[in-house]
Amino acid sequence: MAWGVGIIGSGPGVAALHAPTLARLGGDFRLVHVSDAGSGRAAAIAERFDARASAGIDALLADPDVDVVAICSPPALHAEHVRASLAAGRRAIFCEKPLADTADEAELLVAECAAVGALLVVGTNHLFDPAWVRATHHLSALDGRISAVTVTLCLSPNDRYHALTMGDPLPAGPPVARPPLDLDDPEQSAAVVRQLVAGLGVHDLPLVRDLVPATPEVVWARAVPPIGFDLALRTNGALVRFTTVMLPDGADSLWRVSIAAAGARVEVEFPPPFVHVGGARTTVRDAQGVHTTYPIDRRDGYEAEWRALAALLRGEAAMEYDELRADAAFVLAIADGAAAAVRAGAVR
Amino acid sequence: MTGVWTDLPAYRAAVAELAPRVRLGDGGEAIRVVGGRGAWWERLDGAAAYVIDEPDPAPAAVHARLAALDVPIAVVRRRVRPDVVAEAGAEPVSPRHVVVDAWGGRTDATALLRDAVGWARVLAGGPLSVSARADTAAATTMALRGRDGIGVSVTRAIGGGVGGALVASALGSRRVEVRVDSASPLAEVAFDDLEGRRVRPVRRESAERLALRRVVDAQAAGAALSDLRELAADDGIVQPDE
Repeated sequence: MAWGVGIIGSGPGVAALHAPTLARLGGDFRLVHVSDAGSGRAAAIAERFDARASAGIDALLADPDVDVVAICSPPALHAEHVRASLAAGRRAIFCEKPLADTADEAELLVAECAAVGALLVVGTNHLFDPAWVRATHHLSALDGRISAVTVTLCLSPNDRYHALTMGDPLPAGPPVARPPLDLDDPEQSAAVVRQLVAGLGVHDLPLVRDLVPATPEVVWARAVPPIGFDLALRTNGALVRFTTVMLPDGADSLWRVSIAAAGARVEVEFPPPFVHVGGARTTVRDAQGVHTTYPIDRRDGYEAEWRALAALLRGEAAMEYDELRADAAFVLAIADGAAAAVRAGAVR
Repeated sequence: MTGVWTDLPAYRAAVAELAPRVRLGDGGEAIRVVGGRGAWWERLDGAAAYVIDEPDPAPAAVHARLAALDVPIAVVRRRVRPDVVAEAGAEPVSPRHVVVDAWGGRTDATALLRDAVGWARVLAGGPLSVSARADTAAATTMALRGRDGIGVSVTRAIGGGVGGALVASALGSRRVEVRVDSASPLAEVAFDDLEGRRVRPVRRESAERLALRRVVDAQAAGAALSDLRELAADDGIVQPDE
């Protein structure tokens, strides 16, 4: 059986990512409906996949062929669209990260899904990457605690990767007017850092929580020009350093998570966003100086997150609402703590 | 011909590899090789130049005193070799941030952190100051600030047995990444930009020969070496109160 997917949203994350990714899943899913907020881009995407298109969310949520609602709208609308899906009787939801903008909202949303038994997968693709699963298995087999986790992102614009998963580019959306950013202004700086931690850090902070699950203390946080952040956490006796820089051009995107333990140092290097050339590369350096590089799995996290939803739909896996709730609370506590630290301006 | 005052086998081999420019010998005209364990600074005496091999971190007061020494001094830090430093500067990089992650055994932990700070200084292009620091039983992380306000983050975790590994990266449109690992004498330096990745040639001269050669060259040119000043800067970041 192929479950019909209705995608709310028409940005690059739909056209260049989720819509084509569904074709990688061995027939479990088929795109049946795409909706936009009136831009007309949904029709252009739907036409490529023989799906229907609409504006707004009502027609999509009323479409009898939609078994799964994929919420790929702007992050500020995720909560509203999850609730609308539940209200429309939908019981299988894929929601792009972040699930919500506050921990309280995330808690409520997960509780509302749990109350009606709705299946919910949040698209934290790195958490689903087979390489991450392998890395954590390797670490659990080692003797010794995690002493430090470092995350380093140096990202180029995503549009170079969009071109690798679409035949033709979609018509550009209207230009987004962004006022000049003054990172020397503590309020602006704090707002940017909070948004980046909640929206970008959410890729990897669930991985950090996977390793060192405890309430994190923000040691420092600061903005990095032109757009980025640098922060440190203390959690569960370990130190975490998370640095991200977003650049207007330059080298291939770097996306690396390193874990230091008593018995080994493990490095997981994720591929750039959008592309499908396998999952992350995991390298282990052990106490004897032996380097082990695992083969790169053909499946990446984007594919695996949809397969996880298929497993839930088939009843092969259990819904872990508490994990979703805890991941969201962890990320948003760090986002709030980082913003407060930047506002205080103690570390520049 | 310059005499080299040492009983360390690796340096005796380096003397042989530099013949006829140097030979074994002691006295006031010689280059004295000083092991860096303990109070190495007390052994900087009676020679015309020095090589300090893997010095333990020294207090600021000692560095202040040593700054008055007016002889060539090469400091051997195998994790921050000057020829590898030169490779890391082979292409211009305008970093937006610098990160250094180090992992190694407990006995060498402070020197490892100091050398991680050394790479941070190199990649940031100048002196650093400490903005914040956090320590646990098995890790340290530091927020530093470099020239022109560039941010630097250095993390050192304790693990493994003897030795360890270090990865230093300058993040920008062009990146440079340096990997040093005690499991190999060969450091890796790579640049990444729109054109792809370029790996610099590995440096295969022994650390001991390199140090002696630099001192001999400095003596011949009447030039100073900045090694001790850089060591003082890095030690000062790691243990500012001592």
